[in-house]
Amino acid sequence: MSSVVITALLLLVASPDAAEPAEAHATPPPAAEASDDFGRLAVTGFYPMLETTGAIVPHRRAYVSTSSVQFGILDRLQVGVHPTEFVMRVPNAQLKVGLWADGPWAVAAQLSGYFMLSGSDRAFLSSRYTSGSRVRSLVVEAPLAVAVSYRVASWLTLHNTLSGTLVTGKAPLITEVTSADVLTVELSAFDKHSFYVHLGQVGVDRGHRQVFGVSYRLYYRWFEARLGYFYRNSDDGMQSQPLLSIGAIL
Amino acid sequence: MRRALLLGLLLAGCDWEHFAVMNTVPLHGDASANPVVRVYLAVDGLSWTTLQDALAESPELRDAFSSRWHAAQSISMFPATSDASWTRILHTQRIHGFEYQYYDAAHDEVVNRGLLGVASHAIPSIAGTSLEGPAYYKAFDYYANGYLDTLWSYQATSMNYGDSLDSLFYLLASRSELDSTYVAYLLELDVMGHMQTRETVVTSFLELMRRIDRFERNHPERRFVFTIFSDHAMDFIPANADQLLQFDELMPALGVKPVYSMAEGRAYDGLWAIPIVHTRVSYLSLHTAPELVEEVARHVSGPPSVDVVIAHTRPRVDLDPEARLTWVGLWRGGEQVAAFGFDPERDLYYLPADGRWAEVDVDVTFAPGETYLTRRDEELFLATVGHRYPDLFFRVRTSLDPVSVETPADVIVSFKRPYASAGFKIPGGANEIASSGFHGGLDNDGSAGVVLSEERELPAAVRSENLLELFPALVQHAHDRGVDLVDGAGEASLDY
Repeated sequence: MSSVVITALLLLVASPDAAEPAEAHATPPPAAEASDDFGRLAVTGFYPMLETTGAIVPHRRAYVSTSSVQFGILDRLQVGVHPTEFVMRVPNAQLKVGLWADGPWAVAAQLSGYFMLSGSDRAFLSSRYTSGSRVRSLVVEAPLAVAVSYRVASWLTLHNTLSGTLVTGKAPLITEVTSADVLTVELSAFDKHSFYVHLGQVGVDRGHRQVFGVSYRLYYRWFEARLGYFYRNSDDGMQSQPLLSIGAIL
Repeated sequence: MRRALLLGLLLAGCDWEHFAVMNTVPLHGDASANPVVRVYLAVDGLSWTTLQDALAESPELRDAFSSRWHAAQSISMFPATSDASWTRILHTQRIHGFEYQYYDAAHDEVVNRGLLGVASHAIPSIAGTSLEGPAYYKAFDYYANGYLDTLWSYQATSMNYGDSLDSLFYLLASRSELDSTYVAYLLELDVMGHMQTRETVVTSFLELMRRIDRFERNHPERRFVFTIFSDHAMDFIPANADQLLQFDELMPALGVKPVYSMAEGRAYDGLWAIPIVHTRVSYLSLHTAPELVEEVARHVSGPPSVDVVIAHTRPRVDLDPEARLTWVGLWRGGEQVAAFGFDPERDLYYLPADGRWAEVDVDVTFAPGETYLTRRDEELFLATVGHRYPDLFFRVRTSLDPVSVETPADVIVSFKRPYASAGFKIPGGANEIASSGFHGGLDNDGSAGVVLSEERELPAAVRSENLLELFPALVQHAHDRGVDLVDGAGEASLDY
């Protein structure tokens, strides 16, 4: 929940009135209602499962990348998958609904399902990566998230994703819902370049952890590339890793 | 090249994405299903001497070992080198040779020669390809943290050690929710021993013990039972540039021509051998024709930099007229100092009275007129542990067998420290790296590793080959992970 506090502080520091009141209205809305704005704002989060944005893929348009494939329907719905996870024995799907978009605000809800099949814990190309759990039988993780994107200024957009992930599977796995909140601060430069700071909290009880990192996004015409480095911290230790995505806005 | 790099990055991106998906949302298990979690940490190069140093330094550690931890020396195989030793400890599928560079008997060639072979240590393993690592990796739940983990282990050892500990315990907390056994591997203490100081290794070992203590206190929901074991020791004896030997370059002066295939050797009218010169270790293996083995052993044992040379030797017809036994000789200073026979059917060693046993620190007494005596494996194990060459007879005998390697050496040279095999020569200098400590040789300093356990009491010393007998949960865990276990050396069990 710490990210909620950080969000509030950032809003205070860079309120639209104080920053660029005129431009706030002139700036196209973050939800990609106008198709020519599609691509400028990311329609997915970068860190998987935990984060997304309020933006929606426009009707009959698509976002295709190595980490995500998303299609827009009626400017309200977005359906997609993480394609490489299918290869890694984790079939998955996301359904996102645009709830509200007005000026600098965009709000969307997303339901995802990740079906971790037996053996998905060892599906890495290199054994130098290890899964946090052995998956002997089907484990389902289904995050239901609400994402709010707010363009504070032309150079600053905040995305906050609040989610509850249903985790279920065969005993002794305990069926439960794990909450998470991720704030993503997007700093835009020269229209085509964005730098992100990601701050998140997963769970509040036993096994809770923090996820944080930085990333860079290049958007040029139809091309998009994202590169970042992330940490997962728990009371016992920490993992770190890069993330990479290369894609196209169609 | 650019396309290959891009493709490689995209493939790595798949692993990265999956790594995040599989490690972000915690899965919780019912603690009553696995109230006890056994944790096995395979720590590369952790020495018995490091434990003693740490105990001397830390009152907290002394308290822990007087109350709940048990300790034993773990005598590694000979040569005491990592890949082959882990393979023997865990009884996984054989690897090609003692080191990454090896002699391929089927194709009569030396594979992975030169700096490329050394550099290959840093190349990440990719399952199902020629880059797939040794089979023992599969026995570990965790052994590395990312593609460049090994590279960082050598480039920024202390930083990477912290990263490894963080990763190891992060995963332990996750995996223990649903599993009752966790097996992990730590590399960095070995690297510190090679490249840094004895004090650094002690400090880092104490950090590991503190992390274990902290983890146990943080997780009252289950009982965690830790065991630490190592593959070999570290002698912490540095070698200067003059003491790092390019043994292949010295061989001609010893009357043995270095060659790189049997065919090349057989075309030569004289003594020849194929040297396997790879990394900085205190031993060197040689391959040669069966009829040349003893002469090669005698010749290469000549220099003062060589401590002892091991090879099969001809049966003693006076003691073994039917050649029933397997005979192994030990050479030093250009002559055989001792030889012994082994009877596998009776698990009995034959020690001839004319052997100069005191020279290899074996304390045996022969009655007047006695031409030989026999000793059981257990007797010799106990008689040699703590001596200069612990478990001498078993280690020497099995070093020449295809136990953990497909093509064992014909002759093995154990260097007299501080001399060691240079292994590689970096063009343009920097050849003093990785010369702070060594292992591999027959001596105690590089061979006495550890088994430390909260799980069970231990004898004063164990043979590393028998670790699975002491900890059956490791066997079950290997089966669960789909690891095919193979028989180890014959007649290895000890009645402790």
